[in-house]
Amino acid sequence: MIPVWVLTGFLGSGKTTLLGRCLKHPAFARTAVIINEFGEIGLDHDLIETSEESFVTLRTGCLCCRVRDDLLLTLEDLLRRRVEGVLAPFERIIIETSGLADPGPILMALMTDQDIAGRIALAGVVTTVDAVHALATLDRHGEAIRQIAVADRLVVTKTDLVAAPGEQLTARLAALNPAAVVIAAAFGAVDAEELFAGRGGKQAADVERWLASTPAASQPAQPHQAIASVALVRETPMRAVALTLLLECLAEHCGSDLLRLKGLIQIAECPDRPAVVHGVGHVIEPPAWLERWPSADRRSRLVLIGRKLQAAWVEALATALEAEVAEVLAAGQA
Amino acid sequence: MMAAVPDSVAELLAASLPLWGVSGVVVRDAAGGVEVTAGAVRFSIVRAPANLPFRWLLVSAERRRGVTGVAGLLRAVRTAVDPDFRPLRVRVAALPPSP
Repeated sequence: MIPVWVLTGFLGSGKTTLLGRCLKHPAFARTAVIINEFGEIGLDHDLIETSEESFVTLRTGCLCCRVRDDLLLTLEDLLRRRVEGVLAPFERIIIETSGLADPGPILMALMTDQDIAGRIALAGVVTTVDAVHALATLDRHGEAIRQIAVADRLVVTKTDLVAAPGEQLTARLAALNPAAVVIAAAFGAVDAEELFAGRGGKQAADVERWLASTPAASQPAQPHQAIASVALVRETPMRAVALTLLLECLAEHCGSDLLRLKGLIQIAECPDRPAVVHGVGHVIEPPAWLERWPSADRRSRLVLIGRKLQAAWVEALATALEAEVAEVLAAGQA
Repeated sequence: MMAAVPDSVAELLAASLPLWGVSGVVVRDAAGGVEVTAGAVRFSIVRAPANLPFRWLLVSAERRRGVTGVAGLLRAVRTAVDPDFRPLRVRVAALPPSP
C-alpha cells in the first residue's frame, strides 16, 4: 500500500516552504503531491519547484469541505494513472491541506473510502506551527487547534525568527497534543526523510514513540481550550472482545469529540504480540497485530485526544467492560 | 434473589451522565440495583433473571427493556436520557483471536 501523509498547518505557518524543501531531497523523487489552495488563484504550487507530473493542485475550495468531490477523486485518478504507467511509480503521497482546513474529515475519508481502501494507507499527519504567531492563532482559530491535536509530528517553523519556541508555546502544544513528536525548523530545514518516515500509524516504532511521548496521566483541558488528552494504562492483558467493545463504546459516545486515538494493547489471548489500534473521530480501524513489542514495556496503553473527554469515564468504561467479559468467561468455564 | 448491579457498572453510569451533558443522578437502591433520574425520566437497572437472554433490565413505569451487556446498557440509558443521541450503527471489527 502507498503511504499517504497529510501536511497541515494554519495559514502562513510554513507548509509550502517545508514541502518545497522536502521535495528537493533525492529521497522524495517518487512522491506524488496534492496541494489544496483556498481561493480562485492558487500560488502555493508555483512556490514549489518540481518537474514531477504527479503534482496536483486543487483550487475548488477547502479540502475538508469537499473531500468526496475533490480529494478522493484526485487520489483515484493518481492511482489509476500510476497503474497505467502514465505517471512514474510514486512511492509516497503527500497531501498539503489549505491553512483553514479541519484535517478530521480528510483523515476519516482516507481511512474509510471503499474505492481507495487497500491501495493507500494513512501514514501520518505532519502539522506546521508558526513559532512567532501560533499562540495568537490558537486563541482565535479552532481549526489551528484541531490541526495540532491530530498531528503525529509537529514542526515548529520560523524558529530563526525567535530565540526559541518559548515555554508558553511548548506548554500549549504539549497540552493540546502531548503525544506528538515536536521538531524545530528554521527556514523549513528539517530532516525530510525522518519527517515523512514510516509507512503508517500501525508501525510499532511509530506507535511506541507516540505513546512514549505521552504523559502517563491524562491531561485535562486548559481553561482556554476544550481539547484534552486521556491516557488509559493497563498492567494486565486485556481480552480481545473487551478491546472491541471498548473501541465501539468510545466511538459511539465520544465519536464527534474524539479527534485522535492510538494505542498498543496487550491481548490476553496472544500476549507476545501487541495489537495496535488507531482512530480518527468516530472512525476506528480494526485492531491489527504487530510482529513484536517495540520495547520491554508491555503494558496496554491507549491515548485519546479530543474535546470533552473525561478520564474517569474512560477508566470506568474499561473497568466495567473488562469485569463483564471476565464474568462471562468465568461463567462459561463453570 | 437477583445479583446486584456491580459497582463497576454503577460507577460507569454515574460518570456517563456528565459526559453526555445530562443533568441527573445515579443512586443505588435497596435491592442492589441502580436508579437513574434525569429530569422527568426515571428508571431502574437490575440484573436480568437467569432465564432471560439478557444481562440487564431497564425498568420504568411504562416498560421493561432487556440489554445484553455494558455496551448495550450504555446505549439504552443514553437513548432514554439524551434526546439528541443517535446510536452509532457502525461497529468495530473484532480482533482476530490470534495473529
